[in-house]
Amino acid sequence: QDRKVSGTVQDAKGDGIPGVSVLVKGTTTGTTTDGTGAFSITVKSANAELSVSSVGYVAKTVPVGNRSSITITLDEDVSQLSEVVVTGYASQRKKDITGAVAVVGAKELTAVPSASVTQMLQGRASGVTVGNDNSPGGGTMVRVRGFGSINNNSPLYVIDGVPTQGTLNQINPSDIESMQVLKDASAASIYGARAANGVVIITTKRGGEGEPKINFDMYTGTQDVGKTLDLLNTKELGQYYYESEIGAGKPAGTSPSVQYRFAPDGTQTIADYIYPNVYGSLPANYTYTNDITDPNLGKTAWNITKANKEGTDWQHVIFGPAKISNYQLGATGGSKNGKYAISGSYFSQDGILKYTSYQRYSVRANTEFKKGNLTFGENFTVSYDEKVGVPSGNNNESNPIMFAIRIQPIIPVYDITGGPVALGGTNSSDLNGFAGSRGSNLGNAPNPFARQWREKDNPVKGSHIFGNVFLEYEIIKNLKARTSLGFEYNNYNQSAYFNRDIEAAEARNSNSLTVSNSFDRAVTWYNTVNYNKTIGDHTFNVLVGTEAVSTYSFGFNASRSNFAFDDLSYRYLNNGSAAGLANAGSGATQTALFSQFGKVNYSYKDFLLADFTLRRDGSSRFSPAYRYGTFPAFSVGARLTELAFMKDLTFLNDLKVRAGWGKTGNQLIPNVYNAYTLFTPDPNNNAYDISGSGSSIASGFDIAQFGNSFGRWETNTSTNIGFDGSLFNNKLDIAFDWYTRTTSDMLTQVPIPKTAGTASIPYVNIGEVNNTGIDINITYRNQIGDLRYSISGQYSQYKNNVVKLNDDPKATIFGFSTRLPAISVTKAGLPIASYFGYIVDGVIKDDAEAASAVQIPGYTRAGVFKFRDVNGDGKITADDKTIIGNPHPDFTYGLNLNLGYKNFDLTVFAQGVQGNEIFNYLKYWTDFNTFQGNRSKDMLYNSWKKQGDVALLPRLNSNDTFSQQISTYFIEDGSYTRIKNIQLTYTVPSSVIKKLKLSSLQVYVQGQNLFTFTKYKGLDPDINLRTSGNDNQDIHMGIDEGAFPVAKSYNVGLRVGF
Amino acid sequence: CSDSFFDIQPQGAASLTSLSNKNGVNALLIGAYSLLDGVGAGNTGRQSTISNYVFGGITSGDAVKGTDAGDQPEQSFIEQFNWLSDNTYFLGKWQHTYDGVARANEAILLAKSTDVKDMTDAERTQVVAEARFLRGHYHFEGKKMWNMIPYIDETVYKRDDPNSTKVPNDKDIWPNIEADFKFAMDNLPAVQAQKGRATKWAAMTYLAKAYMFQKKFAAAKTLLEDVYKNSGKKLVTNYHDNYRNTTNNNSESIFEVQFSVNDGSNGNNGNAGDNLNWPYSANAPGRGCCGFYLPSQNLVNAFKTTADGLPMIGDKADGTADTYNLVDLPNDQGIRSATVEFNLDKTVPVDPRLDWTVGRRGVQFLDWGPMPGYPWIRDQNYSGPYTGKKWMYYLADEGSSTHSTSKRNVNNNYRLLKLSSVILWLAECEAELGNLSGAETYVNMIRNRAKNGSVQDPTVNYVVNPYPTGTFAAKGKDYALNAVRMESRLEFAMEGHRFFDLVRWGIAGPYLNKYMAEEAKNGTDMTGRTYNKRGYLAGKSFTTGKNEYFPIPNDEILNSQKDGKPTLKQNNY
Repeated sequence: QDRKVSGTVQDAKGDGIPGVSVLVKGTTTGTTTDGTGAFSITVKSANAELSVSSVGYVAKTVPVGNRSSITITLDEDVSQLSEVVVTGYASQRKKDITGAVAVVGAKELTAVPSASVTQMLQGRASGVTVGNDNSPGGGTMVRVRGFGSINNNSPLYVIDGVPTQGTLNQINPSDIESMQVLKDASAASIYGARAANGVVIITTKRGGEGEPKINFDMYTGTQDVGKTLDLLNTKELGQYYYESEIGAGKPAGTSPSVQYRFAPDGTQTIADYIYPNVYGSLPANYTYTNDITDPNLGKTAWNITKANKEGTDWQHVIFGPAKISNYQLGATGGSKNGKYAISGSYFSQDGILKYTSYQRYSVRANTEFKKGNLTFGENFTVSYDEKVGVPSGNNNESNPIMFAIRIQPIIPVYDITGGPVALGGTNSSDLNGFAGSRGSNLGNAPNPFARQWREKDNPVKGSHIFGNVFLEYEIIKNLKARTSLGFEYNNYNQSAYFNRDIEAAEARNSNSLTVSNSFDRAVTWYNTVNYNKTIGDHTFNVLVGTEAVSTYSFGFNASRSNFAFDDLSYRYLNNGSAAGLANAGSGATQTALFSQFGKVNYSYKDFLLADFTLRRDGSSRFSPAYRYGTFPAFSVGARLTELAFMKDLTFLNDLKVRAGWGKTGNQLIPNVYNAYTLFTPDPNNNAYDISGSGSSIASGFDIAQFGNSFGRWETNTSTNIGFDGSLFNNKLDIAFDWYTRTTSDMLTQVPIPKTAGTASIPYVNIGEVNNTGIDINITYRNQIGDLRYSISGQYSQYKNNVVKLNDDPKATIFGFSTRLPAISVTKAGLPIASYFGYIVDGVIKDDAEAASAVQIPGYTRAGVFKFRDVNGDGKITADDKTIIGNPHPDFTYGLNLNLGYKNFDLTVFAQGVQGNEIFNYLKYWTDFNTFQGNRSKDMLYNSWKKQGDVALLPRLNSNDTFSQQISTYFIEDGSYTRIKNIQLTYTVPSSVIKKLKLSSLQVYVQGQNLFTFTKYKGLDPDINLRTSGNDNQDIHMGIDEGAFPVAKSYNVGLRVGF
Repeated sequence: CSDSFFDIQPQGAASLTSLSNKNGVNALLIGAYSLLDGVGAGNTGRQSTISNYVFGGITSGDAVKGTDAGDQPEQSFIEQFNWLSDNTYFLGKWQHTYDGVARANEAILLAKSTDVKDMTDAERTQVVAEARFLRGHYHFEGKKMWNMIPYIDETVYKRDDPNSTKVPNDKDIWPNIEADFKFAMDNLPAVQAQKGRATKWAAMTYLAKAYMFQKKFAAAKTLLEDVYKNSGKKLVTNYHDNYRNTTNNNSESIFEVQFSVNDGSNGNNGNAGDNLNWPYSANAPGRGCCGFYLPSQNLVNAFKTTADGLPMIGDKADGTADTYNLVDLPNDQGIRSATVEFNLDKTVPVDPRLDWTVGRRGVQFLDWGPMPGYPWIRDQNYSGPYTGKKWMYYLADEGSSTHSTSKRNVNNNYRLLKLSSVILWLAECEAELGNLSGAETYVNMIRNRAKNGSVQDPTVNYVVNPYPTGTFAAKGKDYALNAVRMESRLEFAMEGHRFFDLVRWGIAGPYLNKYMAEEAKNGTDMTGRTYNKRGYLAGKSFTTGKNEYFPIPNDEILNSQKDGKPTLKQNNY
């Protein structure tokens, strides 16, 4: 007889679990639990058993007996082996995976608040190296298993089936359910053509069956700068300049600059005013002006500026506490026929560099409807963001961070007006009242804070749409066809206004406005058919499909100058003078990709697992004859614990050995039109005033690029061997992978002599790069009484080696030139972007040592660097430059510690890098005689003073222009360990929650980046690429050109379920 | 999937097919002209600016780097003869040289192409002639820098083979340069409708210049006399008209590099390569920048004249017997404030060209009022008290002569070839060939123009006179040569020719070592204090047999590898 049984499914803590599937065993009768974990079901007899299962919990079968009310407690499935993982067009149980896949759950990902999900990957997945930009909304470098190419090593991101290769800033991290990194070819080759750098698969949150769950999450906190550089104060800098002049052979009592007077006995007097330069009180006829066009400026009118005799601590002027907060409201739920997950969020982060910020509004809706055999759904997110970036960009010598390091401490922040009213001063102008370097001998670094203030209203505004619609049809049982149309659209707009900076040494002659607009779109359409079949002990899963991707992007900018007013409301192009009119729009970037692919998964009795993948891609980036590439891969795995004799090893719960091999492709040559020889007109570079008018040009053309119509796919061949083991009642999980991957036919711009002109060099398929490494993940978890704990660690190492660039073993690709010649070289036998320069064997301590040293005419003497004569020819020439360092780490690691006691959870997350070297370009400015800027304490106090000194730096000498050659002096150990996150969470007990009529409530406090252990002397050892996300950046990695330092922050957060 | 899905044409660029017509050929030729200013070859511009201020200026004793010690140290290395082959300035100059060559070759190849149907043979020939003039010019720039360089013509350069230009630098390329100028001379009209285009006279003058560099004085003389007599060019009355935008393309001019501003570009066509070479003050031309490329004390002293208005020179052809540098012309070195009373002693007789060449405190600076000294100089202690002048503009011309957003971009043309050069080369030919009175006549033409033209500041004691007839003959050939060389220095100071002239005359070693030794010594400033002139030049030296030519850029040798061996051979470094 039928009877109704009701009950609750709960977890170990006694909290109800929603969405649990409850099935009467052996029948099709089933239901799911509601939001509180309650269910009710009809059974036919007392012998009936209920099968209870839910993702993340160990399934259970419970006899009903004659109970009418049952409480079922499910244990968390800590081993996660039954977790289903999306692996590309399909999903697989984690335990069946035979390729190298790292899985990162939403909880871990979002533990450290950040604008971008890519930043959150740092230290979370073995084999994945992440470099952070640290600026709000800034880019991130993600590299999977080393550096396969010298072009672009960014992985492919696939969000709900839609591929993209951007910064992912437009995606709200809280919407993410899980993230998988497909690391080796056997896992990734289903994405063939674009998978060579790994694939990151992101799945956003979906609804489940059950009552609506409404959640509110928020956190808010404050961030501040950590370490700053040890620079000189006003008095010390005067001393430094003086000693440098004396060191240059000038007589005692020489005044090194107009602000510093020295008596022959070395007594220092500092000017009282720096603009005009006055000792004592100001002449009565001097007047104040903030008008740069005032004809008396610099004669009788000045933006009068007092000397700051103590010294301005510029680094603490530009940096300051900054707020970060995030608010998110979401609802999930659904029935058998329709599921939904919707959310809205607001994220706001101010940068610790004042007036930089990032704000994002985003809305996501994922819905899915089922009717009969049809499933139809969509996943879309719409977001809008505004970013006020670092003026002049991150990691750039002209950004405020570098200027704060370079500007002299004698310069105050404001002139005598105290700055604009909005900043607490009295200046009549909102943009003036700043002090600067305009006077004599004050260097050329502009007031960085003034720049930040003036450029605070120049945000980049982005609008983003990203998502897909899909239709799935179950043709017959286990045979499903799916079609998905994905769409990405990004639109960027910026009105960048620059006003005249009266106080700057190299002031802008006129104000100007540049308006930039750009957009890009990508459409991806894929179709798959998936068939599942079990025949006896053999299970097959076959997937075949096609995919077409088309992209288009376009941008232009226009500028005018000489605006009559600086007001924000006036900053529109029409208001500027047409004489300063300039506009530019480069050609559009358009690409197409078409692919066919198939994959077979086979398993025998859960013991033997095998995958075979084949993908064929065609790309518009290559000429028709070389358009298609075919990328096969296979992997096998054996779950040894299924063998009879292994079953006796009770400590071993699961052991799977895996091996895979495969090829993937890379088409990401920066030039999508590489096949063509092209000519372009350019008013700046190939037009000419042939008529001699003085104000007009005839437009010209010149060859812009040499084409290579023979270009074809870059191929990445990888072999992966690994195992996954679970031991001691699933308390210990170990995953180990060894891999080697070789990029062949690497698309390389092998330098050609400049005698061929300057048309850009075509990419040709000749280079070869190898990365070999290991990834290890270990997790141990246990419970002692009420104390729950887990420790997990991930360890990654790779060794990068350029096997060849072309047939010439000496072929060299240089990185960018800074003020110094190129610092990085890429050549055969070395890792990509090795540092290249002179070896300095310390500072010559005395005349005797100087006499025996290799002579550099006009330089070598006691107290200067001893450059090494590497080739032994008795002189120091460019031929003595050699490899002096390696930006690649020996290994990287992450460590996660979770402690739980009753309702408290403590999480500590540390992450680090070991054995890499950083080229500290900051020292070029602080430790040598470069411009009239500020200097390091090292330079004043730890430079050579007298015979016999064993000094860090050469003698002070204002005529020394040689010591700052690229050398080992700049190379520093970049190793660090950072306590990235410490978080204490309190989960309000369910008894209290019920009274509050809530379903869950958590509060937490969090400290980020509180401790960093490093020997690196710069601001921060986490150096990102120069412009992350751009092409060809990897050939110049590891160079600190004024990188945005990581912020220390303190947050409080709240998670409420209604 | 059909092929049309992949059929994506490059957006925003032209193929050779689209350019294969008359307009396309002319546009490529314009592209080749465009690099004349030294800007646009993907380097920093200052590395290859037509003024050659780095390679021909601060190396020559006429100028110092300026600014402060740590600014652009690579220029300091060049100034101090510490020449390393990886100095990016050498690479930048090389890159520009051959980009110019490549553009000229592209124009020639297309002009000769049978795919171009709408051009007559005469039109094609004219394009080829102009392009060969330019190709000769770019190679000439390289030749005087490095001596042994490869010559890349349209038969060597192959667009489809990136290795095609890996040609050894084992031949003297003067014959090739001459051939290009000869072809241009024989095929170009005497007058062109557009002022910027090369003419027959420009090609002839340039060919003569190539002869001068090879000491082929007789051959040079023939051509120079032809230009002098038949080109219709005349010396302008006022020396200064060669240095002002309102007198661009004047009657003296044979070939000018055309600058333009407010032309829809970002200012890149307005002498952008010299955009660091402006006074440091916002009350000065350029409205405040950088302070590079400043006249040396030695150059200023060279403008001193005897009471008779003659240069203070001796009878050694390498200038080592000259006396002008024994006493410094009064100046404001060490006066550190613009507001301190300073009265320049203007009684010392000087050549009026001094104040059209050098800005010095207390003397009118164009129409900007008296130059105020210290505020215009970035670090007087380091660089000395002077500033350059020839490329700067009048306050009255600000706006018409300057770019709207950057007043350091100006349209005051660089006069690459002018009749005054032709006259002084003729003087040199005559002196070398033993006709000393002929040499004297030519030199005196230049001196008379200086004497009779406008002056910058009437309160200065300007005295300049022609050499009394017979002076050269009386004092002999060495004196005559020295006089011609001095006259070139005074006339063309700060125009970037000097170092290359010193080298071609074979006097660079003794001349420059004397200069550096003297400039490194202390001087005495107006307050009576001892001051250090250019102390950083102490111990620096020019090595004869080495420093005549610059090192070939290291990168280029590296990238010239063919079959495992570099095709380029380094100079003596």
